[in-house]
Amino acid sequence: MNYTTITKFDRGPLARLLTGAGLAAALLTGCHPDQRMSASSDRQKQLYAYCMQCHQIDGGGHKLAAAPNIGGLDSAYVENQLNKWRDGVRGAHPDDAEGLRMRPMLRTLAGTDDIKVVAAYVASMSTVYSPPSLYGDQEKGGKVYQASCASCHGTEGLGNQAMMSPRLAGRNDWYLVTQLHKFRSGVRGADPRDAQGAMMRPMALGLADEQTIRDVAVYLSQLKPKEI
Amino acid sequence: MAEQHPSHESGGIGWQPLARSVFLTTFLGAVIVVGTVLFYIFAGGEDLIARLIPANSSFAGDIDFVILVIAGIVGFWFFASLFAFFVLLYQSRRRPGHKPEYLAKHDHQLHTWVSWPHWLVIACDLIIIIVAVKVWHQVKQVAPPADTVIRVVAQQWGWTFRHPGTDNKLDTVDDIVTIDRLHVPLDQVVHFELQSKDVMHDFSVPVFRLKQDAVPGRTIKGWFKPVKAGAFDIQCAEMCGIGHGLMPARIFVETPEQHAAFLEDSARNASVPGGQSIY
Ligand SMILES: [Cu+2]
Repeated sequence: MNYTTITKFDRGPLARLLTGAGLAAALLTGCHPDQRMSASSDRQKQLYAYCMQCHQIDGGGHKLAAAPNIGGLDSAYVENQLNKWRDGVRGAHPDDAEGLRMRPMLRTLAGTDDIKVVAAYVASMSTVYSPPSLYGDQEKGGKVYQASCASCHGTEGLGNQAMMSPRLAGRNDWYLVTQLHKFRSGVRGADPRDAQGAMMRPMALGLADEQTIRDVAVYLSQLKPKEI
Repeated sequence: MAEQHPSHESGGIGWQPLARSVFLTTFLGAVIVVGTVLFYIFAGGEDLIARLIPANSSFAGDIDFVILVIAGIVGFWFFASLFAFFVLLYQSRRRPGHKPEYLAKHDHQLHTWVSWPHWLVIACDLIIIIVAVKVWHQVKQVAPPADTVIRVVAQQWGWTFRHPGTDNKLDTVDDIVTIDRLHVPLDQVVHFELQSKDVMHDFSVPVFRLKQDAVPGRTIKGWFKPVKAGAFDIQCAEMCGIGHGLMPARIFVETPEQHAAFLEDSARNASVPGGQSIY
């Protein structure tokens, strides 16, 4: 919906003239779209170029930019989340400062299968582990995780593609804490179109307190599945 | 002789053809620029700028007027000095039978070429200052009484708009909060409170000729009065990071019926926090 209104940036004849001149220049200098997209891996890298500014070249993330590590998430989950951002299901809440940073980036993925291509690229990276950035008891966290979360996210924290539950093993602890808080407050997952969010919200609300959340987050950030 | 100094030969490969082509190019360029400007002035008259970008706020015309006054005055002096420059260049051109000479000028000639233009330029500056300060005062320093107050919160990289809702009071339960979409009533004085969550941004609505920096930690107040209904662009106009260029929003200037429909629609869907699609 509102497809036309949000992409219509018409500022009158001068803007049209400049756009025309720009397009003509692009054609004359041999910047042909199909030429650039001939090889699939080139296109993946080209689309990831914008993501890379915050999520880094290895998908390792950058805490200061509020960008978590994304390498190693499975492509179905990444695609699902990017679609949610595009549709305003995620990252469109006024209190979701980090989600709103991500939101306009979807404007760079406007091609028909851009989201699929970049999701596959993210999935092809391996998970970049970071040492804990919070105080948390991994042992306690592990117990809570296996009791409350493992049924969907797996005992190894590898996620479940059928349920669209993401791999949690190796995710940044600070990111997990922020997201759990967002699920609890409804900043994430409360949109009526968010089926997975609706499942996750009561689970997040079920965690006893702040320290439990941190324990689970630190445990997951250091969890190394046997499969790897 | 001619073999020893080929470049000094009249019509040779020295600086003269170069000077001639520079002269011609500049002259042609000036003709094209002046021609375009004259065309637009005759075709558009006072609405010269409004023909390119619609002027849809009560003060847009005043700001366009200041821009035109400045462009006119500066343009006049630009072309006048270029004209004098090229006339002198032509008069003193190298030609057979004339030797270069140093000309010591007298006081009255200095007056003609330095003093008078200098005083004229100062007079023009005064005109610009008077015209500009008058408009600045009326747009930025005073505001007509508000019909409605909205809050604009900028962040990396999006806009949150808080509308007062049906009670027309901000910070009450019926406030309508939207992302990247601002709804304002037509022909009403809208006051805004501009804030930033992180770095400097700039709330710019080109068709309103409105541009206001948002500074973190401050609430900056301003106003506008839309005079034409429709959907227009909002763009961040202060470089704010990697997503700066991806930070547009839309402003919907609505007739009373449209605005009532927006308020009613938002009130009905208040319990559903769904966001809008990005494209
Ligand atoms: Cu900006």
